[in-house]
Amino acid sequence: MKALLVLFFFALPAAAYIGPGAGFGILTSFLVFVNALAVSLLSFLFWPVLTLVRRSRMNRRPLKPAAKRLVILGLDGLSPVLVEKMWEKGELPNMKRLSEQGTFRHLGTTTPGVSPVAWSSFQTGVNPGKHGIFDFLAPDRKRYLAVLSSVRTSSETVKGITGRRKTRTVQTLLRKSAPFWSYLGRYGVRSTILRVPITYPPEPLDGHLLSGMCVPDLRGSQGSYTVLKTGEPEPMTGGVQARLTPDGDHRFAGGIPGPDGSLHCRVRLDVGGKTPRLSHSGGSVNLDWNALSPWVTLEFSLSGKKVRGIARFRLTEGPTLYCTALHVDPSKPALPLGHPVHYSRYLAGMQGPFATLGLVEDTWALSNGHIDDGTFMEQCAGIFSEREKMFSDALSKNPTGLVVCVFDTPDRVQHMFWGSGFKEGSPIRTTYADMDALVGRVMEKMKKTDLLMVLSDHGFTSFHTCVDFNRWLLENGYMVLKEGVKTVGTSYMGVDWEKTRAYALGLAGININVRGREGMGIVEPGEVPALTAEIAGKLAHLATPEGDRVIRRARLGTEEYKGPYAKDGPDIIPGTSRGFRAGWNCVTGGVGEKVLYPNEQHWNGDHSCDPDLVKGVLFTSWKHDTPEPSIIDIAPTALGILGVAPPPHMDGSPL
Amino acid sequence: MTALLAPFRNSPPFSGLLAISLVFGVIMILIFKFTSNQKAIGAIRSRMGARALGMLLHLHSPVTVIKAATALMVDNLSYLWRIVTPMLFIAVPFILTAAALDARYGSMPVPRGIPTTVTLTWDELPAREGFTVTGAGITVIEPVVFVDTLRQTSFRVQNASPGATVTAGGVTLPIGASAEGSGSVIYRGAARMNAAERLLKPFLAPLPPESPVTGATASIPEARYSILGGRWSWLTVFLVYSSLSAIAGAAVFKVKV
Repeated sequence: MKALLVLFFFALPAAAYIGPGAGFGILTSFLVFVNALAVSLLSFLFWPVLTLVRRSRMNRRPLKPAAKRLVILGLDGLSPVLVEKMWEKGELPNMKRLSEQGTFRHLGTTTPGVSPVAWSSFQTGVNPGKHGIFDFLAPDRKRYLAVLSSVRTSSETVKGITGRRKTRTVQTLLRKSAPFWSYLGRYGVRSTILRVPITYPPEPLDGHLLSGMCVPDLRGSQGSYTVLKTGEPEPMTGGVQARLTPDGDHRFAGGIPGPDGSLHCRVRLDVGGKTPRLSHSGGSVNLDWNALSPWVTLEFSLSGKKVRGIARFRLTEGPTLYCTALHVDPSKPALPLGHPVHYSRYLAGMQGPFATLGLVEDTWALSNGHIDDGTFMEQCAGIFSEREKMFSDALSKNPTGLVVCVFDTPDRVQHMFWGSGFKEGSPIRTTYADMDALVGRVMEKMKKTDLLMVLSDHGFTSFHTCVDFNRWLLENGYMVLKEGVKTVGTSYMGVDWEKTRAYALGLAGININVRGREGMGIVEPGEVPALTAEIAGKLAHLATPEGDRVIRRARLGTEEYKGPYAKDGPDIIPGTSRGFRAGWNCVTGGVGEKVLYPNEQHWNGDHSCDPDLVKGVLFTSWKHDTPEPSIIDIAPTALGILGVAPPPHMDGSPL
Repeated sequence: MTALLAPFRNSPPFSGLLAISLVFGVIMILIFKFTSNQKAIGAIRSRMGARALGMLLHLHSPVTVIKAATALMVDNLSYLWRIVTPMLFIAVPFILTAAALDARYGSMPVPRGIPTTVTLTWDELPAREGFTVTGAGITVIEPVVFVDTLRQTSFRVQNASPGATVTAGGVTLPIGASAEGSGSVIYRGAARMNAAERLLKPFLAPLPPESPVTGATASIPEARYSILGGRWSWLTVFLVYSSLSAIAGAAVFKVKV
């Protein structure tokens, strides 16, 4: 001890510096202290100026605000029918309380009632003819291909600082019409927008935004998982299979395909010990058998740059290693995930890594049997928890303005478990109870000067029968296949466009092959109205052998959509009856053997039917007397509440 | 240390100092890695970064900024607590290494043509008569000055050769001379020391307890190293190069600091 004391008290003055490592720590710590003081001081210095500027903008608001803060909680796919059913059994007490304090209504959705369309109308307050999103997929009319409706990826050549030209990928948000929070920003009202679908790539706003549905994974897809196993890789939908090669006793090596498919992140799996261990370029992680790992950071080299992704793993017998889609790492995003760009870094630092992919829940892996129901629900629970943390942070940090957060979990769970029913403990019932508890927690955080809206973009129903609209068009003479072609797998390969008058694409759209609009159109524009009416009329008679009507109402694009982009929408929107939906292959341009066939996928609930059958929910913390509100009414209502007059182009009306 | 510096014996002192600094930086960063909770440090640093970003994101709200700043300070304390353990582990080798380097690179050998004063402190001042000072490999400049009140004798020396010694009143001391070329100890004096003091003050030649001399000092000039047009002390050179190698080591070995 004496020697130690001597050592410390009689050390050279140089010993005040305690070496690289800890020395950096002390330095960092000092800088943090200085930084905290400086920013606090700056904030105080600028606050009066910023407040004055903001106040002057806010004072220009034409209406008297009804609330200091408006909170909108989006619960994707929450069905009013199920809510009312559970109320009858005394469940969902928080939603009940909210409905009694304020108002509960069924919320009209868009045509069709699918998330990209409905959430686009939610944020813009207009019909799809004005925002240009008509489905998940849109037709590339020149090439007869299905493309993503909301984002276009292109490349452009730019001149670098050194004068060298380089090509870069540019992603453009295709949703037209401005979201209502952009109008709020003009009047100094700040917004925090979390995971609202169709907000990728993020647009600038006065506040913060984290993009939702349509954020791609590192491979550029809307979510493709990886399965690593021994044996020859097999092609599969929604994922990639990679090979695990034996590499010693109980050891395996493999690679996870990265951003351009060929860039692999090498992994080594050691299943010999008590705890299986996965090693990768960035480190290693212990895995438990049959359990999802925490988020693991993976690195890929792309054009000399390191690109970071995050994924979760699950190891099962075989061994088979399941790896979720490669999410963009929010702490070092390779793509802009929000506005400002460091918003995702802030959230990742506060709460740890979180799912960033647009469609997070791995429905394909469950459908393909690579994960089980329990794992899927575990994944959903993790995503829900991450989302709630960021929502809570936004609520605590933004006492005024607008806070919006969308939870996708109810939608995915209902898609995958509708067929399992709603008995006690079923995934759907549990999810509804979780959402109710969330509503309760949010209500507790509301102040007297706040208003709350809880809404869903659509409801839900069963999906037991696939309708192959392309087959129907073929059998009714509107589509013709080339000589010798009986069926088409995808992308209309084998369709004779010189004789085809109509084709189906997406979840709810039939298009006429119009001359001048389509690449090889044959129908004169003048003949379109008569042809659409004829097809819609015939579709109304489509029935099952038992006599059940398949189409509840075939709507015409010209009647449903009004606005500058209405011409880009489908010509006919075949609104199916409960239980029927466009068949799997038909969505991307396939032509099957039968018009009607059973849906044998795990995905057995849906909402791509007639929109009147799948209305959403709307809870407001205040009373109103609008009998049949619609999702396009939300934007003008929100603007009105925060004192901003809705612009005249909005189709909705304030509640 | 001497063995470590053996390859640089015939090179300029700077090369040995540079090599030690680079090796030391990497070793220290590895000690830091293995003695700290890297996961916790990573998490807390990430949270601190987020709080700093949070302050920027909410600049419009001083209340939120102050809350974030307070949380940042608390995190900072927690961070400092996290690095106490590695700091303690690093402190011991650092102090010992710094002392050893100071003895080797802190001073120049007694220069040619520039007299250096050597002062010896005695238990009992020896008699002036018959007191002689001789040098082996070093030139001693008379006279010898006696300071009775301090029990000290002083004289000057110059032109030291490697391994030079001075014998004064029968006591032989190695002073200001490099015995084995670049990287060997240059004594700036002598003292009676215990084992711990010897480790911390290797620039002093050890005197046996029975020696009539209690201590000796030599006013040897400080060594300076030319880098980028400036003349820097060994400590500056060491800090800069060990830090650079630690930064590189942290990147290579993925150390969260």
